[in-house]
Amino acid sequence: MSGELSAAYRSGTVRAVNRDGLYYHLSMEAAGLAPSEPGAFFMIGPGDASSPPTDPLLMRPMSVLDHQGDNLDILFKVVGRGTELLAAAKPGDSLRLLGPLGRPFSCAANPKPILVGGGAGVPPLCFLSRRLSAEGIAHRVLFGFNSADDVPEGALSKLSQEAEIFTLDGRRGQKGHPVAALEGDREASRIQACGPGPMLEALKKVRLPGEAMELSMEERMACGMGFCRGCVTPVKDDADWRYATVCRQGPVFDVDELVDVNEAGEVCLQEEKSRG
Amino acid sequence: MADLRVFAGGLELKNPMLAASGCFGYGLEADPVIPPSLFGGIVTKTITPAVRRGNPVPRLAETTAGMLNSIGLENVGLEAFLAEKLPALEDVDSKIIVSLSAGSAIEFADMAQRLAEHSRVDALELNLSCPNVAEHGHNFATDPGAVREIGEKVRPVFKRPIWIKLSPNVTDISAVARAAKESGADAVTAINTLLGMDIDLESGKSPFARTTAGLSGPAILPVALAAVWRIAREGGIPTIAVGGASSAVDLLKFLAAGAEAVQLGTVLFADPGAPQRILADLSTHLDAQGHANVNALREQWKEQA
Repeated sequence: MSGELSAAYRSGTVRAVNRDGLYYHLSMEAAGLAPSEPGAFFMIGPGDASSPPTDPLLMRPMSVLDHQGDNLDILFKVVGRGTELLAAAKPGDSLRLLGPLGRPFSCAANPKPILVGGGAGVPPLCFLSRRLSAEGIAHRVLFGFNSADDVPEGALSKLSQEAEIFTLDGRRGQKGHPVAALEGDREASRIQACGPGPMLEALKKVRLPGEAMELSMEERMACGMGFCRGCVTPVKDDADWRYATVCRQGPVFDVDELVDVNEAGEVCLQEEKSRG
Repeated sequence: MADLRVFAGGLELKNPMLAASGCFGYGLEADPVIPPSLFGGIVTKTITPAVRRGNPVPRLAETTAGMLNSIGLENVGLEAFLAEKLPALEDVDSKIIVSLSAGSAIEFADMAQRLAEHSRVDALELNLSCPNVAEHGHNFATDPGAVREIGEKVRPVFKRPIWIKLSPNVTDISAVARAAKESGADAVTAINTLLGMDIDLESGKSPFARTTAGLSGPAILPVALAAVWRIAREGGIPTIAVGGASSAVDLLKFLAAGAEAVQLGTVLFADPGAPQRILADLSTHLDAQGHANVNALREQWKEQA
């Protein structure tokens, strides 16, 4: 566990839900919450905290796009029943919120930050970019999307500096993956990334020796507070390794903490067999 | 305001609401969102003799009004629990029931003996029914003989209350409950998760490394209610109910079915406001019915029976 929770469980009121590229921008009025740091997330579910629905049962982890005073902004993709309900919310509707949760990105000038986001991993990096700009910290922003139609232009327009956009269809920005921009000669930086697993793996490959790298991990969650032990990822533990919760010890991890998830899984299954 | 105190499973509880094993960590993780002292008792995450890493991800899947889990008894192991987790609970104003699991009756007894040295341990819950581990190829709780053997080995070394957690994945749960009673246990906890699985249509296989997983949540409440009712009539041993309770109404249903107290499980993940609301609603219900305490309500149910 890393420190006491600063999270609160509250009902919030929907101000607006707007389509933004492939994503939905949910804007809520949510009083009585601690301030969020870039990389933090909320568990969000339909209904009111005084009488929550039992189906779908669990709230969904959503990283923060922006959190100013009583206004909380989330940018998310519809992937199933839970997110469909959130996308269908109307102004004035109640939603349940638990947060802010999780270990955020660091916010520092040296080494120079390079933000690398892919698809639904972009929102927390928009928040980080604005925070870095507000603190006068020079940084690069590299965002990748499958298609030009996916790009959340609304969220990107609120950045204080232009993002370098990459699309697989090449109809917006440069054609290809953002990681390609980090190949070849460059200065060691602080890479701060959130996106699909293959993108994070590709980043590890272009990492310079000893280069600072923070990766925001994604995993199915139930409680969001570290006690259900559902959302784990393997981390180093002296000479060995153990599972850490993505919701509490993460979602942002230093790349040097992480252990290969597939190798770890194999070890677990072998250990289990030797017990049986 | 109604008095919520109950006598349950050999313990004086300040209210009949407990946190279920595996659903509230080691008691402090959710504080202050869910203050541990709300509960009449906290059943810890199951402890094993040595540290266990648990199962690979994915460990969770949502189902209709429920969820599947395959955590695999991940825990810090007995010695780290005694050194780090148990002392941190010193100031928590709830009974502490330590859940434990081991590979044999002897191992259970060894663990119980170590736990007996610690006065903060108010009771034990022997988890004989985790569906997510490989040992023995089946749960102890599907075999009345194994339940009796384990209970009998633990009884002489632990003088405080012993609860035995049962599996719903049996034909006659009251037969297993009777074995628990004969072994000298004070109560049974019913039920653990139901065996379930999911299919990932891309691979055509279960997403879980161990294929099957444990089903919990509101979807299993009727199953738990039937099990508790049956044990109350045919098991002859006090029952602590667990399985899908997510409101004061659910808790009252379990008490009416014969449970002495009720554990909250999955609802603690889905709705961290539930414990506070359930206590308030329970008080309101008793007051509205004109009952001074939980026993008065039980008496009313008995008279109507």
